[in-house]
Amino acid sequence: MISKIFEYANDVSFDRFTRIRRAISNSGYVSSLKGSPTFYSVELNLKPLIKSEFDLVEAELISKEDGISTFNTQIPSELNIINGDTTLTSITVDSNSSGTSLDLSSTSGLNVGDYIQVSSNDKVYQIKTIVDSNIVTLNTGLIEDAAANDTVSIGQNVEFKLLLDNKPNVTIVPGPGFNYYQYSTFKFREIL
Amino acid sequence: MKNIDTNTLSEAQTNGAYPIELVSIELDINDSSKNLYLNTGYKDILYNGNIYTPGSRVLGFSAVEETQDIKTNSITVQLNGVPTTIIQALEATNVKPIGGRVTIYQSFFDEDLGSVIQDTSNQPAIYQKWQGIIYSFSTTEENENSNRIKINIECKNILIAILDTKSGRFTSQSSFQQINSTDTSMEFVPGIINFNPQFGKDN
Repeated sequence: MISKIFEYANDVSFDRFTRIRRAISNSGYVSSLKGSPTFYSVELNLKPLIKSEFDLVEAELISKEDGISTFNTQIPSELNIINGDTTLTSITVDSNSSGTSLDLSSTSGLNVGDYIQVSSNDKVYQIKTIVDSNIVTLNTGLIEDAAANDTVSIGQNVEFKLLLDNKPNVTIVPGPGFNYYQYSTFKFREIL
Repeated sequence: MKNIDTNTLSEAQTNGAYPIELVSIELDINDSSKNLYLNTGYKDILYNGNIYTPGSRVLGFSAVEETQDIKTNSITVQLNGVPTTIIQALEATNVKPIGGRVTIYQSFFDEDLGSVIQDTSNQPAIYQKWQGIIYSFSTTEENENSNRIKINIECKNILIAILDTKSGRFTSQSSFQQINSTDTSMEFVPGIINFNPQFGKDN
C-alpha cells in the first residue's frame, strides 16, 4: 500500500540514523559506539496539488486521528531509492534467527544494500553483508526474532512504519481558474 | 568493592554492545499484576522470573548517584503515561504507589547476538545499580507539539524509610494499644489531661 502523501511527493530526502556515543580525547583518540538500532527518516515535499488530490491527502491525514499519525507505506518505485529485486517473492526464513544474522532459504539475487523485511515485525532492514548462500548480515539487529518459514519482502515490497513528526500546513496558491494546494515539508521517522 | 566480570568488561569495550537499563516498579510484592517491569532496549528481557518489556514507556532517569556515604539520594523516573496499564497501576484507588519499591538494573545489549550479554557463569550480566522506594509521583500533561503525558516518580533510597521512623510512642491510650490492644497503661491520661495542680496555694 502506498500512502497518497508519498504518491504525490516531488522531492524526497531519505536518511538512516542511529544514536552514537562519541568521545574524543585530548590526544585525538576517538571512541564511537552505537547506542540504538538504526532507523530511517524521510522528508517529503509534495507537488502543488489540485483540489481532488488535496482532498485525498487530507482524507488520509484525518483518518489517522489528529495527533496520532503513524503510516504504513511502501515507497513509490518512481522515487527509485529502494534497492532490491521485488521478484524474489519465494525467499523465506530458513531457521530461527536473532541478532544481525538472518538465515534465509536462499540469498540468490540479493545484493548488499537491498532493503529487506521479515513478516515477524514492521522494522525494515538493509543487507550489510552476504555471508554465504543462506545467511545475510543486517545493518541492525532483528527487533523480533525471525522464525522458520516467516515470509520475507525485498526491495519496493517492504512497508515502512512511519511517524509523522510535524504538522504540515497548507498554502493555497492561485492557479489558472482554480487553486493549487501546497503543503509544507512532511517529516517522517521510522518507529517500532 | 564491586567487580565487573571479564565478559561484561570485554563487551563494554566492543562496538556490538550498548548500555540499557531495567526498571522494576513493585507496588505490591505479593501481587505481580500491580508491578511494572520495563527496559530501555527493544526486546523483552527475562530476569529473575520477570519479563522486562521494552517500549516507549521509560523516558529517562535523573542521574543515579552511587556513593559509599550514608545519606539519602533520590532519583526521578520519567514514564510515558499513555499506556493505560501504567496509569491504572499508579492511580487506582486500591493500589498505593507511595512506598512501592523501585529497582534499577544496568546491563549491556549485544545487537549482533540480539540478547543481553552474559557473565562468566553464562547468566545474563545484569547488575543492580540503585534501589529505593517511591516518595511521590505526579502526572503532567505538557503543552508541547507532541503533547506528552509524563508520569514522574520520585524515589529515595531505603535510608529515608529508616530516617523517617519515629522511635517510642505517644503517651496516649491509642498509641500504646497499637501494639497490644489490651494495654491499659495510659487509660487515665484523658482524665488528667486538663489537670492543673496549683502546688503551694491554699485551698
